[in-house]
Amino acid sequence: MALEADGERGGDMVALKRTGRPGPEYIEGGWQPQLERRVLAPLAGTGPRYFLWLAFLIAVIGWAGFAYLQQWRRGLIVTGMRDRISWGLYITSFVFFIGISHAGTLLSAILRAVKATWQMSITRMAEFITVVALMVGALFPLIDLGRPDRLWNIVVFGRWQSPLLWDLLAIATYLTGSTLYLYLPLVPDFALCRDRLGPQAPAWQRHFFEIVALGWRGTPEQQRLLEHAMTIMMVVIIPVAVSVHTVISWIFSMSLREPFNSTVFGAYFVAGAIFSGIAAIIVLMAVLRRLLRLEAYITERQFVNLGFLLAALALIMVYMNLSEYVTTGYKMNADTAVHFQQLMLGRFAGLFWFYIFGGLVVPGLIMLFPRTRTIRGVVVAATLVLVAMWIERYLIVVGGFSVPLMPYQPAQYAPTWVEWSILAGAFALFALIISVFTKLFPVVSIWEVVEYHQLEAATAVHRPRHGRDRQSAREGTAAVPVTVLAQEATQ
Amino acid sequence: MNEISCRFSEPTRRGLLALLALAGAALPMAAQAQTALAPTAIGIGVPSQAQLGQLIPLQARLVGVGGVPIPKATIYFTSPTTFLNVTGDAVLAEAVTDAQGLATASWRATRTGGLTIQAEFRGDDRYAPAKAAAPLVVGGERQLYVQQVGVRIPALNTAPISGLPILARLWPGLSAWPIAVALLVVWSLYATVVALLWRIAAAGRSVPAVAQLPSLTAGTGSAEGAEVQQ
Repeated sequence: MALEADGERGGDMVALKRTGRPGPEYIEGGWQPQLERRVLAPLAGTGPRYFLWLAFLIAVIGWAGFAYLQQWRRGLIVTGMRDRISWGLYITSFVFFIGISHAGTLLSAILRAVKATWQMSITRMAEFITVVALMVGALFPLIDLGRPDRLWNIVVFGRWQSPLLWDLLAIATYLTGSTLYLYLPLVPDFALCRDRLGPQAPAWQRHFFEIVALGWRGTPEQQRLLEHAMTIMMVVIIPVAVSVHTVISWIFSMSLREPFNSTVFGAYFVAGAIFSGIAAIIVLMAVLRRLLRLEAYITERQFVNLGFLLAALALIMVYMNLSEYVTTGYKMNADTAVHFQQLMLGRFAGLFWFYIFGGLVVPGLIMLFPRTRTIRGVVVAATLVLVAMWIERYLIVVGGFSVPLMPYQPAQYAPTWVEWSILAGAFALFALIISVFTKLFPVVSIWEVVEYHQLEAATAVHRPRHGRDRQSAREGTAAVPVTVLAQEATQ
Repeated sequence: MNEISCRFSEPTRRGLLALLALAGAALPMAAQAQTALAPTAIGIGVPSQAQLGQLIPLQARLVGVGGVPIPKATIYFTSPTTFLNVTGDAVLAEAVTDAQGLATASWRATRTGGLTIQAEFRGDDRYAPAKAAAPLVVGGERQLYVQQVGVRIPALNTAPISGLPILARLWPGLSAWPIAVALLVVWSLYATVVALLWRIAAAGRSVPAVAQLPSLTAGTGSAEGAEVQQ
């Protein structure tokens, strides 16, 4: 089988053997039909555990809805926020979700732009994280408003000079662009679903794929147009993604608060967003890989490569923190002294040092040693980074507001059950949309993986290194893109 | 440390003490001679009514005996004010009199109501102080605070061509053009992509429909499907 023979993909087999389950090479047929079956199988059948999982998520969201109803009726007094600390868990989570939305599209676009083929099987998940995280993250400013009916005031009375309005425009632009960028490579896979799911599939599903496949037949003209569209989006989405988190950082750094008074905030926020976004992709990859049994297509190679990116971003974050704290600490005006005292020695010290060591140092060390540089190690590192980056946003928001603007005692903030419930509901909503997505769309970009295999096989034909590679090349050339398969079927 | 000492004979000491006593008696007399200052008179000229935010001209004329103008004298224009239970004269402006004894200044009215404007000469070593007052009623309603923070960059946050009142008036609304241009470029590219999708759909219509491929839910797919159910 091609996978077995592929010298560079030895990790695949290791991963397969670790799971103790039979991989695609044990199922009848070539690797491509197996890939299609494996990836499209969740769309064709659903077990009771899936519905139990959905019921659990809906219950959590329902509880969050009840909590929000309390806030709607009684106002923000039911939260721990007051006049001195008026941003809390909601804005923390807003920045966090917008942050993890970054890696998806941005990473996918950058890796596509540099023609990194190893990421072909994970781009779909990465792009989907972007859209879902943006949808969930954008809810938090509305929740934080207390009076969401006043949202219209931003449209009517919004000032172009305000970073809040820039933020609204940037997020709307990014969400639209990310949705387009997610949709484009889905078109050939939608066509595959349309052609493969068969008459047993529910009528709504067949109609749905018929519409969203846009009559895709894989003709050269259609492929050319799709490639053109993807190139445009690939180029435009990178600056848009960077602009979104830069603008979010400006909401902080353009206000007159000492802890936010920083020139590196834009770059710091963008780096932090990519950092947490990569971690989110790794965790989601691990979960879907296990649940959908995609071990053969999402391999140790993808985890380790993303782990290296994570480690590189950890170093950048260390540099940013150092640059920020050393320059402000060297001058150490009165407000900075209060901020540093609270952050490093006072009430935020536990969280701060967890962020530094748990979020930056330990993940870097995990990736440093080959012994820990495994799928499990990378997932542990990514989980640490996710938790630490949420804490980092909490420290920026609540820690920033905890420095008094006038000579009074620093205010205290403790989130209430309403805030925690709404936060839990947001995470449940995030998981719910992704769970539903796995039943509506292929989580792996089948046609891109096929093309990647073709490319590798062709390379192996031209430069055979040993017997296993030659065998791989022969089998690889036998594999044809889905689009070609579809055309053949018409003959 | 060396002590510096000075020794006088007894007659010299007595003579010096007598001299000091004489000088002490003469000094108050000299001071009294200086308090005999020339009288002055001051007149104030302010409009009786003004609009809020208007730049108000303040004039005062300082003359001496016989109406002789007093030049180079500092005149303070003040207004009685109470702030946080402290009452006093707030200085609005100050000016120096010219050869005709005329001091001219201006002041922008920042609150409405009836005010008292005073012109005050505080006196000097030759002239006695003088003070005059006049009422002023400030009316109207307008927003006085105008944001003027930051650098004015022509074509960015101020009109690109000065001297055109219409452009100057319109520019605050047009100053967001960099944001508008960025949005226009990005959304135009989005529109291009949507148009390409439209063309993909159109290109598909010219190709015969694909025959149904083997179904995932039939044959070997059924076992597979059951296996991967979550």
